[in-house]
Formats: sequence, structure tokens, C-alpha cells
Amino acid sequence: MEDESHNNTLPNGFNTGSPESPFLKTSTTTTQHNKEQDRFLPIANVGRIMKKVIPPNGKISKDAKETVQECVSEFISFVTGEASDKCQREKRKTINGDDVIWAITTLGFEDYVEPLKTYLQKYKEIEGEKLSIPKQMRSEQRLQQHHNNYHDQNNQPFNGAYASSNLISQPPYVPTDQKFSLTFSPNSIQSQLRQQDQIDSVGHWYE
Amino acid sequence: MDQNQHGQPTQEAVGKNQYQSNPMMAPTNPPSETIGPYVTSSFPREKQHAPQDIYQEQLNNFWAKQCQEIEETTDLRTHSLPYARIKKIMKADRDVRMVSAEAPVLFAKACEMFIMELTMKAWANAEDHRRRILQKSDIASAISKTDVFDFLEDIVPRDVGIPRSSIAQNFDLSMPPHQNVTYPPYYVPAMVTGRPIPDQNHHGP
Repeated sequence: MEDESHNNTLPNGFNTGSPESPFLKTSTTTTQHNKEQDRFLPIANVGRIMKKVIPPNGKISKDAKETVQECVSEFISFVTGEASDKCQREKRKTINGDDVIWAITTLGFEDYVEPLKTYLQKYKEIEGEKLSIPKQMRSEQRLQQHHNNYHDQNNQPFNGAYASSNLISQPPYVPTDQKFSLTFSPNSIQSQLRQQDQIDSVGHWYE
Repeated sequence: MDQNQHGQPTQEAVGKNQYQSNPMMAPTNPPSETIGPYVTSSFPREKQHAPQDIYQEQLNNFWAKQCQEIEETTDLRTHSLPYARIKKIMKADRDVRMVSAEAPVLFAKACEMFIMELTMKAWANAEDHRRRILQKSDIASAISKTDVFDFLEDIVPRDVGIPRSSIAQNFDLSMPPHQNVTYPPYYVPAMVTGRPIPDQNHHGP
């Protein structure tokens, strides 16, 4: 949400000399408008990146920015399609970082490979522990403190992608309840079950 | 073009584009023509060889710079492109089922490099035509000159040569642009961001 809020404040200017205006399209329905917007990356972000490689007194027309918006979406779809085909051949359902790098290599973007491999390695070093929770797909909602605690206990920063699939298929709560009901007195069952639930949750979360 | 500003842009380049100052400044000799502070050559202007050599060197510097920047990066949250939007574009393909968290992160970096490479080559075309404003035709020219960009030919037809064209008629957008705007531009996407949550929960069990 923070990203969207940030984007919401960026496109304020309408100066034709240095166009910063948002990508405005007419839409007869909300659904169609959403689809239009979702097909492209924000034009302000694209324009800002373009300016990094031209001289400071150079200008970028709005139609040039819009063209690059189209090209970037096509680039994403092009690479994703190649990565998806590879996953299907190998009977895998999830496209991961290595698949993206493989697709980029196959499609001829050799210059991109070394920077991206370094980037992926760094991502795994910094963010690896966050990949080992079921909500890994929420890349924009991160609980830093929570993840650090589990990371310290588990110490498996490089097994995130596979630990996640293991975790999903192993929610054994019922047998635990049965076991504990045989070994504790009635007066302390509730408190003990709560503590054990927490321990089990922690254990299975990262096994 | 403006001779009075020959000195100032050079100084501004050092300050404003500190990350790109080397590729911009390294191949530049003292300007001896009015072509501009960023393209200098002892060859006649008719020749295409020298500018291409200069831009090839700039590209090499660019890629070396990318590796260096990534090595020095310590916080990957300072991304320049929104992950949620990238993921949405990826999943527009019906064959794409699940996307790991690292894929949009990688794409953010890949797209940034893609935008910069495409823009650098387009700017070379603008300078060849002695212009200071990047046009769609420059993008089209960069695409037609680069084999790896063949997949973009359908987006930018090769015969686009009209300068300062204000409306992109050749895109596959079915809706022509109008002045009348129905909704605020970035309000609705905020609502869409909430959708992935139930979808992800569905994949869980």
C-alpha cells in the first residue's frame, strides 16, 4: 500500500517541456480502467529511470515515455512466457528467480545475467529468511522483527523456496492434541496446550 | 546546440548524474563542434562510425557500473519499480500459475537495466539527428538497430519516423486517449492491490 500511496503523489506536473503527467486513459468502466492501469508500470517511475542515462539538459517527450512503458510490459511478458514454458516442461508450478535468469539468458540478454545473478544472491542473503513462511507472496508486507526471530532459531536462509512447500503439506496439529491429553492433568491442560501450540507452530513453521 | 551553455552542462553532469558521469564523460574530448557537449568527434559529422564507438564504450561502462552498483547495494527495499505491478503483469499470462517472491524482485532490476539500455540507444539516435528531446521515433530506431529487441517490433512499427508525434496511434490499445478523465489516475490501483491476498491463501492448502 505504501508503494501505491507513493505513486499516488508523484505525477503532479503537466509541463509539456518535461512531461511528468500520469498516464491518463479514458475508461467507461472501473474494471476496464483497472486493466489499463495494471498493464503498465507507472510512467513516473519509468521516466525517472530514463532520465538517469541522458544528459541533464536532455528532455524526454511523453510519447517516448509511453512507448517505453509498452516495451517494458512486453519485456516482462516475453521473459515470463519463456520461464513459464520451462517450468511446465519440468513439471513445476512456481516460477523462481533462477527461471527468470535462465529465460533472460535464453532470449539473448547476456549482459543482464551477471548483474542479475549477483542481485539474486544478495537478495537471498538479505531476504532469505522471509521466503520460508507461507505468506512469502506478500513481498510488500514484511514483519522484520517476527522474521528475524524465526531466522535466528532456524538458521536456514537459503532453503526458503523449498521449506515453504514442505510447510504447506505438513500441518499436523490433531495428533499433537491427542498425545498431550494423555500425559497432563485436567487442571493444567489448557495452559499446557497453549504453550505446546506455540512451540509446534514455531517448529513446523521452519522444518 | 546552445554554445553559451557548453561549460555548465558538463559541471551539472558531474553533480546530477554521479552514477553515470563516468560513461558520459570518459569518451568525451574537449568539444570542437557545435554538436553538443556529450558528443565530440574529430571525424566529419557525416560519418556514423565514431558515434557508435562512443556509445559502445558507454554501454560497456554502463554494464560494469551495474555490477558495481549491485555489489554495493545493502538494502533491496529501495526499488524503483513496484513489485505488485510487475507480478500482475507476469500473471496476465494464463499459463503462469505461481510466482515466487524473488521473481518480481529480479524483474524490477532487469526492467531497470532494460529501460536504461533502451533509453541510451534511443538517445544516441536523437543526438545523431541533433535533437535534445527524445522522441518515440528514437525508441523505434533503437529497437530496429538491436537484434535482442526484435520482440518489440510489433509495439513500435519500424516505419515510424514522424517527429513530435503526440498520440501513439500504433499501439494495441483499443481506447484512444481523450481529455475527459473518468477516474483519478492512481486511486483505483490501490484497491486492486488487495486482491492478491485471497488468491495467495487459495494456493496455500
